[in-house]
Amino acid sequence: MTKERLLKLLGDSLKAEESALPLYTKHISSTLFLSGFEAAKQKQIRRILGILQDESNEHYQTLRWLIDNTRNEDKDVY
Amino acid sequence: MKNNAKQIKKSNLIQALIVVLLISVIVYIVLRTVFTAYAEYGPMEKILALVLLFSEGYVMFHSLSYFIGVLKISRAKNLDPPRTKLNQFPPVDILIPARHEPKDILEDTIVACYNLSYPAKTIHILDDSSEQNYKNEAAVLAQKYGCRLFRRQIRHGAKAGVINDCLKGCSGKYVAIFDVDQNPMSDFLTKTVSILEADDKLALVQTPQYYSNLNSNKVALAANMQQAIFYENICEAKSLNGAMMCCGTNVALRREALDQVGGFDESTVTEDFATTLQLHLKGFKTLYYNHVGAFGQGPQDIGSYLAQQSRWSLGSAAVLKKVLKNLCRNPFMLHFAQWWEYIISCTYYLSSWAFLMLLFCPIMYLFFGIPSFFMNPVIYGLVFIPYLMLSTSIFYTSMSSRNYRICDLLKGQALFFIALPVYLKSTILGLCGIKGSFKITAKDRGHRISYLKLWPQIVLWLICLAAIVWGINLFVYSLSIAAIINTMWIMYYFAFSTSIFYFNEG
Repeated sequence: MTKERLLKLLGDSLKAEESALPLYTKHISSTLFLSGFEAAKQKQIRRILGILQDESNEHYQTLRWLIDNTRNEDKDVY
Repeated sequence: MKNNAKQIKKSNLIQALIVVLLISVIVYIVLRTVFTAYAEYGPMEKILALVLLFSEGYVMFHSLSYFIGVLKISRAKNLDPPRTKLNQFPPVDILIPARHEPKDILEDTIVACYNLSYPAKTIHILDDSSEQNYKNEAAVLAQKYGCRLFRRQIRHGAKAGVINDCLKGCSGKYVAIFDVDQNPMSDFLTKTVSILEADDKLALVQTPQYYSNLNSNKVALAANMQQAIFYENICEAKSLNGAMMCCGTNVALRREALDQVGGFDESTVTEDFATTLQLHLKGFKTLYYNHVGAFGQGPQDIGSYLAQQSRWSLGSAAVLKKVLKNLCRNPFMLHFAQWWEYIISCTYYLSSWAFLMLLFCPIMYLFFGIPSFFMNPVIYGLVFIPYLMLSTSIFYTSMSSRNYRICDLLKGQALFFIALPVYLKSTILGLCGIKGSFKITAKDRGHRISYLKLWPQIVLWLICLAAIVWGINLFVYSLSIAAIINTMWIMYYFAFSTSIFYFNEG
């Protein structure tokens, strides 16, 4: 894989981590009351969404680091 | 197992109640007609009585259609559409029509489309903006996410026009359309394309439109409840009758079918609805898939809501003429159930006139002593109250079984009542063939609007208030049962019209 290709794929992943998960979380958490789930289950879903959000932030940092490092590398084939 | 048995029992109960409801409506209408025909009153009272009877019949006709739909759904064995496992992924063109849209809202939709877990997709931003800053923002977003930016030199046909123009440069087997405030979930295309692949005659798969700005906005919450009534029972019934319409967003269409009808109909502001009629006339099928595949933003204030409702009601009334023309020319091109659904959809907003008359007649009685309701009070109680109780309980039971709260549904009904003046005007414009402009629902507002702009609603509210005061006065001095019954009806409308202050709080 070329450096350019790798950077593109990493960039795609970064965009997904950056914006998609907060977007889904926003929609799901604000309409959860229509789901018919019991309050305890809704609370659990919210908690899991929170965990996903935290992990997404970590992924974001990792991807950012990877992109910066790849960009600064001399290698062109991975 | 136990839950299943409970569900079947509940479904059987609803079916039995609907049958009783149908009987009670027929009995009520027959008795009302007989009492009206044989009442010994002058021509003025008789004319008013006929108007009232027709209005009642009109509202009951629509509510019966709704309950027949609920009955059909409860009897349906399987509402899940057939699907094909996708071994290959036919190309899909995703169209996002946008005109003067806030950047963050457009970006959310692009991000959601970008993250659709469907490999063979091309995202097109259909930028119809005329202001340079919006054009620049769309260009930046297209560059950032690798989307195709489509613009045109000559604007025509509003949303339908820009879609048709863009399609000339697209070659995908399917087309997915999302309004700029609708964010698809990642499985949207995988699910809808697998349904389209299962049947070559299937022109479109429509999914529901739900709002998610519910916690922060009263208008959006109430509008969402109206949407819910439509996208739950009504759409499922339409789909079972083979008459599901395209709603213009959150929809996947077969390109070949669209081409066969010459693209989207540009002659009306509800291009989606008019185009579906053409698709059905060409022998294509349509389907509703009740899976929340996208979330969106509801109107944020009364002004946006009324503009949206004005467009929908005007367009629906305008399509009525097309439906009737085709019905007369080719009555056997569609099944009876399909024609029925088209008539119901096109005449829904005309029920605003019936509601106006249902309000006008009690007011005429209280202020001018002109009676329009001739029926023995005991018989009225015996035949009307069962209808009222049954219809109310079936409606709320069927919706609460889908997790909707009664208080929220009432807010939706109140919002409908506030839009009555808009419906009255738009339906007349639509029937007269006045096209009106395609006003986009504003997404970046959420403000209180001047009550001067809401003068029809305020005038209606004041008339109701005066009639209630006068009605109570009449009752106190004459102990007239008719006065108190009429006053109670006006109180019912007054309660709904008072909600204008609740919704316009900003």
